[in-house]
Amino acid sequence: MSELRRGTVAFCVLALLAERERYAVELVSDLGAHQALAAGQGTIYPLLSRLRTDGLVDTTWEESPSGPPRRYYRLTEAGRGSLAQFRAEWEQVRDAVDHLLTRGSR
Amino acid sequence: MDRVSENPAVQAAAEDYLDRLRRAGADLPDGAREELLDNIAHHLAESGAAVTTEAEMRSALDELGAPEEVAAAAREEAGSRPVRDESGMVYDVAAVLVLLLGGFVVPVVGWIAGVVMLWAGPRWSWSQKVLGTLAWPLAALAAGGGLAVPVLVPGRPAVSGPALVAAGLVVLAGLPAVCVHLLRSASRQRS
Repeated sequence: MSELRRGTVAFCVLALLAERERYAVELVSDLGAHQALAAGQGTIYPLLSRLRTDGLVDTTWEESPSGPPRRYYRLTEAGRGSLAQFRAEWEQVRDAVDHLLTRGSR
Repeated sequence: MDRVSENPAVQAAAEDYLDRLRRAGADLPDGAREELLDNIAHHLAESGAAVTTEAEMRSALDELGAPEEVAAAAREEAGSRPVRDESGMVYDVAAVLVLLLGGFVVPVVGWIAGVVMLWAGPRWSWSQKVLGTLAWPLAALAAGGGLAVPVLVPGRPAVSGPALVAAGLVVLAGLPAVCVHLLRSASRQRS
C-alpha cells in the first residue's frame, strides 16, 4: 500500500499547486486531510524537498507580518509537464484497475 | 531554533520533538537532515503561533507524525536518489593500480601492497581476489616461459619469436583485462 501511496502523493502535491500556490503549512495540511495519502504531515516535507531538488516545484520565503517567515511553494514548468503526463497515465491505469476490480468482486 | 511560543510548555514540547527528529535522522545525509529540521522547525513555529496550550501543541505534533516516521520518509527519499560512493571508488582504483604497477615502484614489496589492498577490498569476491593475486605471477611465468623456450628446447634460435609474442600477449593483454574486470565488478557493487 505504501508503494502505491509513495508513487502518487508527489503528483497530488503537484496537482494542489497547479490549483494555486500554497504555503508549506497549508499544503501539508490539505494533503494530510486525506488519510489515505499521508501517514503524518511531517512525512510530506521530505517529499517537498525532493520535488524542489528535482526542479518540479519552486519555493520562496515570504515575510509574514504576524510571525516567522513562511515557505511558499509553486509549480514550475517542468512540474506542470510532469503532472500532465501523470494525469494521462493515471486515468488509464485507474480505469483498467477499476474495471478489473469490479469484475473480480462480482 | 527560533522561538516557537512564549508558553514554556509549548516551547519545550516543540524542542523535544525536534531533538527526537534530529536523533531519528542521524543517519541521513547532512544536507537532507538539516533541511528537514529547518522545514519542521518553521512548521512548528507557525503552529506554535497559533496554539496557546501545551495540549494544542501536542495535537499539532500528532498531526506531524512521529519523528521516527518523518525520518523514515526522509530516508526513503534519500534512497531514491543513490549517492555515488566516491570514497569506495577511490579505494578500488587505488588497489588495482598498486596491484598492477606497485612492483615497478618498489619491486615485490609494491606488488605485495597491492595484494594486501586487494584482499582488504570489500567489493571483491574470494575468487576475484585469487584471480587478482595470481595475475602477475602467471604473467611473469608466461613471460619467463617465452624467454625460456630457447633454453628448454635445444636447437631452437636464441630468441623464439612466437613464444615471445605469446608471452607478450599474455602479459600485455591479460593483466589489463584482469584489472578491468576487477574495476568493473567493484563498480557494480558500488551502484
